[in-house]
This record gives sequence, structure tokens and C-alpha cells, in this order.
Amino acid sequence: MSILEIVGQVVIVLGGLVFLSAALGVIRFPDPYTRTSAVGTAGGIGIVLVTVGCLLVHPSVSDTIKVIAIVVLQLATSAVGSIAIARSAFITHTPMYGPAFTDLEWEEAGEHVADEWGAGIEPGGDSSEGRPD
Amino acid sequence: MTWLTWPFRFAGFLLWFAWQVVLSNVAVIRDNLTPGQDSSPGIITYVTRCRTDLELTTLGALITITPGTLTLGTSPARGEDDARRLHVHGMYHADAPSLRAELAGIEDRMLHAMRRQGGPA
Repeated sequence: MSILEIVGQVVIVLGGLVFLSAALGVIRFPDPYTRTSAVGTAGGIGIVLVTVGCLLVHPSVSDTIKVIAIVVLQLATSAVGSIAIARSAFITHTPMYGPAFTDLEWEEAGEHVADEWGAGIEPGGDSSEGRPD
Repeated sequence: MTWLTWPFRFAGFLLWFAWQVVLSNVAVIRDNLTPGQDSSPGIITYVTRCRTDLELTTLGALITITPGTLTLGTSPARGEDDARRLHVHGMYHADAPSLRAELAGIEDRMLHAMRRQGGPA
């Protein structure tokens, strides 16, 4: 067993542990925003560690190209997925758990009712203009 | 001439950003595995200096890829300045200015790396 193989196995297990911690975070973290952040660690560095670990165990030029493609595409798409989940919580005015600071009027006013589209709407404004895009 | 430095600026940014992703992952995983919640969450509306949809989308994705900060959406321009705004959720910043400063750091480096002529100005 070469050094590279051992390092590869360790990196794969590390990636698996990141997935475990992300799953734990979904249960332990208190609101949708922090939970999405916890899942983001698995979708980001978790996949990267597992694929790079596999590359170290069986290194080859063609696999290196594939791993680079996997990492770039995975990071780009998991970011969009995370934004979609977080945005759906945001536009339904889901409250934060124990907010330390906020710029949002509805969060300060304690209005957590999903009756308006999007934040940043001026009170009494035309709601079709305030829809975030 | 700045065209010649562009690939190097871009590569340097990727290296810096990869390191930031590692650091922020460690922060979230540590909070996750230690007892209790030591986060101080908050949402800010960040006024960006992005000029195109591509720059805004990239900035939003970069913010989301670093765990602990999360893009929640964009907001239509309200004033005459026509600035593009992002709503951003942060977990480990004591107050809004420190979160704003971190986003400004990412944005500076990203615009410097993406624009052929360089510089966020």
C-alpha cells in the first residue's frame, strides 16, 4: 500500500465524516438558514474530499480531468440549490432563530406571515414591483 | 496589458477562495460538533458593485459556497443609483458591519479577478 493510497483513504473517510456532520447539522441547527448552511458543507467540501480521495487511490490523467470537472460543476450547482432552498424560506418570511442583527423590516417588526412576496417591499407599495428576481 | 495578467489574477483568486472555503467549513463543522449553538445569525442587504448579471450571480454563488454565509436572493434597485443588492444570511459575525466587510473582501477580489481590465473601481 503506497503512501498516496493511504492518504487517499484518509481523505475519503474525512469526506464521509463531513457528510455525517452535515446530516447532524440538519437535525441540530435551529432554523432553515443555518440548516441550509450545514448541508452546504457536505455539498461543497464533502464531495470534493471524497472525489479527490478516490483520485489519490487510483491516480491517472483522465481521472484528474474528471475530478476537476466534478468539483467545478458540483460547487456551481450545489450553490444554486442552496440559494433556492434559502430563498424559499426568505420569501415566506421564515423567522431567524435568535437573530443578532437584521436589515429587514419584517424581521424587526416581528411580522412572520407568509402573505407577501419577498422582502424589501415598501409598506403599501405595489407588490408586483417588489417581487425579488 | 492587463489582459496578460488576467489568467494569473484569476488563478490567484481561485487559490485564495479555496482556502476561504476550507476555513469557513471548519468553522461550521466545529460549531456543529461542539455542544450548543455559538452562532450569531443575521440577515443584511448588501449593496454590491457588480455591473452585470454574471458578476452578481457569481458573487451570490461564491457567498453560498463558503458555509456560514448564505445568499437569500436579490432585490430590485430602489434608488437612482441602480445598484444590485443581495440579501445575505451570516452565521458567525458579531454584527452587520463585520459581515459587510467580509462580503466586501470577497467582492473586491472577485471583481479584480473577473474583470479583464482589473479592479473593482
